[in-house]
Amino acid sequence: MGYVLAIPLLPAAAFAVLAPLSRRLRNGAIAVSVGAVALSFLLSIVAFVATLPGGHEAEAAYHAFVPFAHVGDAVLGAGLLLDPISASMLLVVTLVSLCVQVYSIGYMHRDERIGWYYAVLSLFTAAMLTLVLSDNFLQLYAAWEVMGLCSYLLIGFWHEQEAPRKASLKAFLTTRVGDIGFAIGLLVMFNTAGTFDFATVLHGMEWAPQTATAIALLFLFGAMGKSAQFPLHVWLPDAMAGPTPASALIHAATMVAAGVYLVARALPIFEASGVALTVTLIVGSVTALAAGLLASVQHDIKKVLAYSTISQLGYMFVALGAGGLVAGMFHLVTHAFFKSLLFLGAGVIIHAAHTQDMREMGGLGKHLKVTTVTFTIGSLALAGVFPFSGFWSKDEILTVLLHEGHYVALAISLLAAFVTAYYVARLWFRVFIGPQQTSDLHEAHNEMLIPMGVLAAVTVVVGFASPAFAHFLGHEGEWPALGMALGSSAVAASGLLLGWFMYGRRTKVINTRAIKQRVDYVYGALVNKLYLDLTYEYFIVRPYQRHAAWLGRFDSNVIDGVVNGAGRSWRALAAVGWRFDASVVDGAVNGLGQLVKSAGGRVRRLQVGRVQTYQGLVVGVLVALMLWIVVKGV
Amino acid sequence: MSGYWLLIPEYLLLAGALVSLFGDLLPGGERSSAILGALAAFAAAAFAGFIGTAEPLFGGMLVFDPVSVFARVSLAALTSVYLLWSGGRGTGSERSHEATALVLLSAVGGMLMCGARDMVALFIAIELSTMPAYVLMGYRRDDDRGLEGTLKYFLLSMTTSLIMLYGFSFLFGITGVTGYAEMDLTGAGVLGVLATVFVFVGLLAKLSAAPFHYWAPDAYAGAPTSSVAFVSTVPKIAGTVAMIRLVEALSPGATQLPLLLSIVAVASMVLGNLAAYPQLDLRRLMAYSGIAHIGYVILAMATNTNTGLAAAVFYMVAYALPSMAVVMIAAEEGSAVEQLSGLVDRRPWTAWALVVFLLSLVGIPPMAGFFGKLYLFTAAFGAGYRALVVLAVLMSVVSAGYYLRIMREAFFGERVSTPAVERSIPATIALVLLVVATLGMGIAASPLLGYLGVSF
Repeated sequence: MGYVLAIPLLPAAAFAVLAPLSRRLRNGAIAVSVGAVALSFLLSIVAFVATLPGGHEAEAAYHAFVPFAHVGDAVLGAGLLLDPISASMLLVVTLVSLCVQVYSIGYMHRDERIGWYYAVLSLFTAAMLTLVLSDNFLQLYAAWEVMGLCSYLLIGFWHEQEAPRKASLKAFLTTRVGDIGFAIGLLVMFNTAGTFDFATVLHGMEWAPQTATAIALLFLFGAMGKSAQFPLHVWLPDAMAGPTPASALIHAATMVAAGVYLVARALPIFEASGVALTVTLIVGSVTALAAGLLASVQHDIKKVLAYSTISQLGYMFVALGAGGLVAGMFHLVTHAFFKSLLFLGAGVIIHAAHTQDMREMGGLGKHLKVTTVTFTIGSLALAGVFPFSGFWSKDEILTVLLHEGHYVALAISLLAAFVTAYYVARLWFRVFIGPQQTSDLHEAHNEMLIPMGVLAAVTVVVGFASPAFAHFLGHEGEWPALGMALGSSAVAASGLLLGWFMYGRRTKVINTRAIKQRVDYVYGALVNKLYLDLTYEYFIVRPYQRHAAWLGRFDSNVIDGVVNGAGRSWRALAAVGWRFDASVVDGAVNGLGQLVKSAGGRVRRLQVGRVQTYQGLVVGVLVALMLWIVVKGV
Repeated sequence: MSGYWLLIPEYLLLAGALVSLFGDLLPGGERSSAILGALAAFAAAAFAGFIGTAEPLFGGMLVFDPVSVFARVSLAALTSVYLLWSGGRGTGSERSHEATALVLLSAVGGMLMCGARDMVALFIAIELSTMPAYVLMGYRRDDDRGLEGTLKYFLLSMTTSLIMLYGFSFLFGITGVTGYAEMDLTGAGVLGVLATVFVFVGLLAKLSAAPFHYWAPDAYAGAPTSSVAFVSTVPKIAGTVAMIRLVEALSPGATQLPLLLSIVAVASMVLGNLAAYPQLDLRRLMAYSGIAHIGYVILAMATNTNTGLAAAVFYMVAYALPSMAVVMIAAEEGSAVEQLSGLVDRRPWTAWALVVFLLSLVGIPPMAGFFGKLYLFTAAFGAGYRALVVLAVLMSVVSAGYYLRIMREAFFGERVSTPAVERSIPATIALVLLVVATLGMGIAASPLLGYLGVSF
């Protein structure tokens, strides 16, 4: 089963080819990148079939390990682990990545840097595949960081504009805050267990509750950053400044789900702790509801979807917090498909309407027929309407909560489901129904429609795999109880009805301003994102800048003052003080200016690639040597 | 800690640097600061020789073994000769006192590099020795070409420094120590080899060994020739010592190191010698010939035997002496090869000195270069690198071609009238010293190598 290695290696090779040639290749870049991920997808199907009929995660279908280093008694290395969880993740990641990459052919075809775009997408896919195939937490962490880098690069893809630049930095720094937790958790784990291997730390040892709590909470903190959970969610809405297909892949389907995947993998440690499970449950339910409410007041179509993603990820945390591994993972799978479908649809809508503001949209349903159908399927799945996939996975989560007796969390989740249905209806009616505000509406090209069709088809059918998926992961699976199904459907229906009542009626449009004024505080809090950004701004960013500025003043006043004072007294003492000033101080200043100036003048010549070529050659030789050594072995 | 007096040579160099910074306040101005620096460096060399071998300092961070003493004395002495020459020349641009200070600071870094047996100490010493070199190379701040070369030098040097530091961090991670003495890479697996490769890529780039040499020709051709005379020679002695210590320390865990080094050696010898042929600019020519000579030195390092490593250090000094002298003459006469035309008529003594230097570089007895090559090739041959030694001998025959071309230009070239260079006594003394050293080191090769702990 050595072909498993090729699954992450193919996109990685695509990146290695494309990264140096990104400026020269356009169609070639598309062919290489899409070809690589298509092959990965086919191999993933093969790998998936090989793991059938599934079983418990401790029994891997395939496991390979290459040791890299010995630290004390511990062996560090890279490994591949194919078990039911990773096999299903492989399918999700490669399929969504393939769809998004095909879709991007149409979406990005006018962009000059399409080669670089595809290179980063390939790197991201490789990293995500490495993450799900990891057999130890250290490798998982490495892939996790590479994904963070890709996310940063793609959010800031249009770095000529200010918003993407700021958003990319915000995303990078916020997730880094979480990553610190993850990293410390890894250290604690290594210190106690002496290894990072899944087999040992998850199934092979008894954790003391305190240690397990420490590790689990630190991991959870990392997962909260990556999966944009309250209160570290602030980066994800801003991350929508990147290209929409990239948002679909990274900020909806895969990377943000990595936090969920981490918690799902480490669930035995969470269970050993107990406390950590409760914290996960609380974080998840707060996020699910709060982000749902925030999604209800956004006007930017991508921001609605972004908050919706946060809210749905919260659902997954709720499921895991209740110990429902299958429910959480299944919601991850269904959500990956329907949310990337919605994002791709939003891309078409934005292209057609030339705006992201829903207030300036309307009546698109008549012109964008295919998009309307697929987007509707995605919306219904998100709202949790039978028989679309979201219905099944959401019901599984609710069932878990009911069985485990988490009634408060169940109530919050039902409320969040109601809110979800409401904002879905709000979005749908505003975009597709109502007066047309834009002329010249065009449906997208086939290369954009076909991926959406594929994802829509998957969204329709995948829900019926609900019990089969549970069996595949080695658990008991059953169809949702009729009472739960009816209850959740009623909640979803009432949410949709409220949305229709507010935004969908042709005859009468409700004036929402009166309502907004009546619940002034609530609405204001929601529009201002619960004041979290402001809080961070006031308590973290501004004090930081203030201290930095203060230090700067200290530097210029006190330290420079000392230096200047010394300089002055030196001048007074020395008879030839003027020469000191002229030759040393002015010389340094002029010299620096001159250097910068002429270096700037040289830039054109340097830019044609000479120094870069030299650096590239040095690094290239280094890489060649490394590859040679790795291949040859010691 | 009671060993601080062992660092007196470094203190002397530092004091010289600080005083010469204010050189324009000294009577005699710029010149006297260089002469003062030369005296400080000479005193440093004398002290370093007088102190001799001693116990390690700072818990083994700095050692004073014979190799260290030999390299420190040579380094300080060469610095002294260089400063004597540049002070006597007196034709440097304004602010040449700053150049003196920079040279002395770089020499301090080099001295510390010679003794460093610890990754942290080594890295700091390397940076201390290269930082002033950047400034020296870009000294003519109004010269765009020089700045461009300097920028390239700086960027590539930084990149490779970082690669090296990255390697150090891995070494520290694997072994948990920074000193070479306790560093044990056995059993570290692929990671240990990779870390070693990182470290050596950094060092090889500093020594401008192929295929990491790209910066050298551009940087030398753009820089003031007088700076090239220093930067292309003295720091390389320290670099060689640093490298042989790392070869000793890392070889047990990195079994592929000899192979890696022999690849680099072959690449450097072949590329350096062949690329030197068509060069019309002496600085570029010496840059490529430097690459070739580093190739020989690395060949000796690949043996990882006592004799090989000692021969490497000896050869490096034997190369630095004449190489510095040739670039000095180029600085006086003009950097294009054809500008040397008719040197024998204008300055017969200088022309004959040039012959000594070039023959030493080719490797003709009784000059230092011959004995250097002899010991170096013997060591490599004894360690079983027969094919490579044959190649190296062939390549040094090839190198005779371009060195003799310089000679032909000096003796038989068409007489071009170049403005006579101002004669100065210190500069003449410096060249004479270099001639004596080039001849004397050849004659004293046997005892010197005996001091380094090997006998042939």
